Amino acid sequence: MDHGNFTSTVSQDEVRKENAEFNQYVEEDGKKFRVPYRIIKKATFSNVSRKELIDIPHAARLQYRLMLLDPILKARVDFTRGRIIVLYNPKSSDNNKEKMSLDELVEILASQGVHIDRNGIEDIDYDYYHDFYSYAYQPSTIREHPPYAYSEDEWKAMKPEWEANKAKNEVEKLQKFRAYQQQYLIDHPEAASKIVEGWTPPPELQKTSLLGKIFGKKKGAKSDKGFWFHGI
Amino acid sequence: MSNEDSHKSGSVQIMIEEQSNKVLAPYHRMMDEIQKMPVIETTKTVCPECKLIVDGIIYKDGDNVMIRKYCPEHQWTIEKYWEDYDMYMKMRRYNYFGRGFDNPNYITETKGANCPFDCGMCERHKSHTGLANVVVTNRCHLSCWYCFFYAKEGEPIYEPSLDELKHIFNNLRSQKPIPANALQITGGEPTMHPRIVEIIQAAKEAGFDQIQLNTTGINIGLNPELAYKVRHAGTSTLYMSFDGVSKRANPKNHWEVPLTLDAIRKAGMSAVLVPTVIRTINDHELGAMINFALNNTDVIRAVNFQPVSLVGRMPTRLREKQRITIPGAIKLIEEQTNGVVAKEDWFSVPYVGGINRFIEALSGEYKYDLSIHFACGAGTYIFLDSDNKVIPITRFVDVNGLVEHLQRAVNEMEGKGKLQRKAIAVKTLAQFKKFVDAEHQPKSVNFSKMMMSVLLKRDFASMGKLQMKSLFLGMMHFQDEYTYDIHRVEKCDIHYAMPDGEVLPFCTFNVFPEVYRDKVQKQYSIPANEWQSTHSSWDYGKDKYIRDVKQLEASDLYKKTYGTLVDYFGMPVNGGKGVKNFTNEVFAPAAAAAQVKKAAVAESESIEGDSCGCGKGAGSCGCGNKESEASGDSCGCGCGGQ
Repeated sequence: MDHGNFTSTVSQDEVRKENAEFNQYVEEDGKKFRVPYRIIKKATFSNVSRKELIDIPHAARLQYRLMLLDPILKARVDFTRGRIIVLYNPKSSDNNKEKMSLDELVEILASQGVHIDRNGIEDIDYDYYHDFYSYAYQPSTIREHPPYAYSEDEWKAMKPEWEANKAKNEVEKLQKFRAYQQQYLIDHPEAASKIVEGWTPPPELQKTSLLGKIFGKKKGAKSDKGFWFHGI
Repeated sequence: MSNEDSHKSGSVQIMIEEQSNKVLAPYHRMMDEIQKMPVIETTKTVCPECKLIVDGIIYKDGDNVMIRKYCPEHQWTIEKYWEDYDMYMKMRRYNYFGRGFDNPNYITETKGANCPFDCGMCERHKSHTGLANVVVTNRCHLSCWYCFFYAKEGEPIYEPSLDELKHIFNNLRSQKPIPANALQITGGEPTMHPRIVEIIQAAKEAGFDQIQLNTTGINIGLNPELAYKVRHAGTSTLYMSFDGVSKRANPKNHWEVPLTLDAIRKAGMSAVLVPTVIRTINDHELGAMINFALNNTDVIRAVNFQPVSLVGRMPTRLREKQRITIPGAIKLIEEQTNGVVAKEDWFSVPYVGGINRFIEALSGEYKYDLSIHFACGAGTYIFLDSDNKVIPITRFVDVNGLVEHLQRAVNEMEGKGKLQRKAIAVKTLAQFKKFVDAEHQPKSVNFSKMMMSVLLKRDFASMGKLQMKSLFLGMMHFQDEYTYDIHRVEKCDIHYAMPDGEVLPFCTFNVFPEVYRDKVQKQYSIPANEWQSTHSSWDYGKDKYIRDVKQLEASDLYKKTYGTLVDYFGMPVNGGKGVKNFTNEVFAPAAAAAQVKKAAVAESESIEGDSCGCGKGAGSCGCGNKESEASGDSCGCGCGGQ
């Protein structure tokens, strides 16, 4: 919920105008992704009595209990600051998910022994797609761990080379995979045409070595057995 | 004697039994006696009833390590944490903190103070993703009574599109500093996804080296073409459910396993057998399962035992009887393999981290950490030598000594230049041979040479070759509300990637499904009516697998697979005797056939009307069928009943 610095300025009405009928998908680079929410609400309850929150374990349990409710997407009960933040799906939203109003939320908190001062409530629009979903898919780098037995300064000097190698390895890995796929089809002629429709082996790979002729192994064929914990 | 008196004496009898039974006694001591027991460490845990975060006290009770917790509302909860104190202390020595994420998906202002209810993979987490799980569908062709992972009739369908899954794969691959490199595609039954082959290929193209397909194997067994396709697409192994060698222990896929193994054998793929171990249910077949794997080492690379995670509410007595922990299963393996695979042969997962840290310190390149909590997993390698002798790795490698030796080198390398590091590495490797007893290693293995090539050339293919010659035995004990330990959760490296972009440790995702797994999957699911309208030819009933037990049992493949097993643990080379419950009940040699028949009769008498062999008895599975013709086999036992 506190994913980014982005503060939504999009109002619920504007969104409704754009999506007269709620669209459950967003499009990124021509690809559609199902995102069930757009503009939801972020309610912040400040100055919550710490006496009512009791202690950190009870605050955590209150958080758990709030999250049990379908219209609540995320809840954060911060005992130290005496603050509760709730991301919820408001009645005004145009999606087809369970909804609740701010009053209902306040009532639920009251039923849990937490009485909210109405003056300490901030209830603002929250852009689920930009502030939550997109952040989780592209989180910021907040720190850096150097490899074991290296200091941060050493790592800074080594990093460009490591990054270049990593990128190179990724390309090589993909090439290796493509080669493996070709070889697999050659090694399994009985299934090749079912795997890739109409597949025939390339002429250069149809040759068989003398040993291969004797032992029935095609030239270049090798077993590809993986191991669980490869390096990267 | 009045009814009341007989009831009282019955209760007393139960109490006496509970207090004298070795397995149950630690649960039934007086609290003041428990509170005097030596405390090993303290942690944070949750009350299984109300989820209040409370102190967890890990203490020694005889040979057991137990956890106790007190909730002001729900009083005491006592649970077994680890069934061997010595092993606990031995494994604990190798515990270390790894690196979490440099780019966590979820930022909390409270730094995870409300853990485990702050989850989303926050900055507090201490291990990177070692194995990423991605759910591709919640549809399943079975309807196992104990499973809550699949969509029941009328429930929303969670089945992300290929593009959505690519999005998730890329998210996992962009983790820093160590991108997820091993992926488990799971479900439901993942092969139910109509684009499963493309999904696997997309994962491979996203950069995952290791791709496991978590499946019952049934679809692959019945459709061998699929085995070729998923292998060609990049699947490394089938992570296949396998709860025992007998029908009774493994009603889920006992009949189809021969077909599946045959299909993957032809397709050049391998499998990891994954038994969920439940005390009193299948704990007598652990040795038999390892033996089964040894009989199929050409396709089975590993047996990964999972002591049951008792998630959800259940009666206390049943929980106490069914609970088994990693050392509990290890001890049974020792018994059932006639001491061939002994307690001392196992090491905890963080041991491997020692080897990887050495390579990283030498090369300056990130390596997988495997920094999970020592109590979460254990493993060993066993080798099947040319004379059919089974040799665990610890009989010829001093694993503890080796890891400590490498760790000393890592410490020495700190702050040194490139040349000095290499000099330390040479010095370290020169002493390597003293940790390997070449005389006792299997004839087909040169362990020193293989490790040299891993450590010096970072040639992990050599490790692959080692695995080809061996069988990996693993243990992975996932937590539940009773055993919950936040120290374990924050070190977890088996993660689930969720459709909302967040990544969760296995034991928050599955232990609190109501606020994580089920909640988020429900948000991203397609309501049943919408699913039906966009998949007009789809029908819930059509998804379900109908088993023809008679036909499957009549096949030569079935008879060959279960009927011709070599008993590696009863062989004279191991000095062993016969293993209980070892020989297959149906295809035992003629001499034993009569005994098997007798046992089968006794078994059917003890479970009244259990004609289908599902082990649940008439009425409980609901089939009541004397015939095995299946019609709507919703219990998945092959009985054909509803």
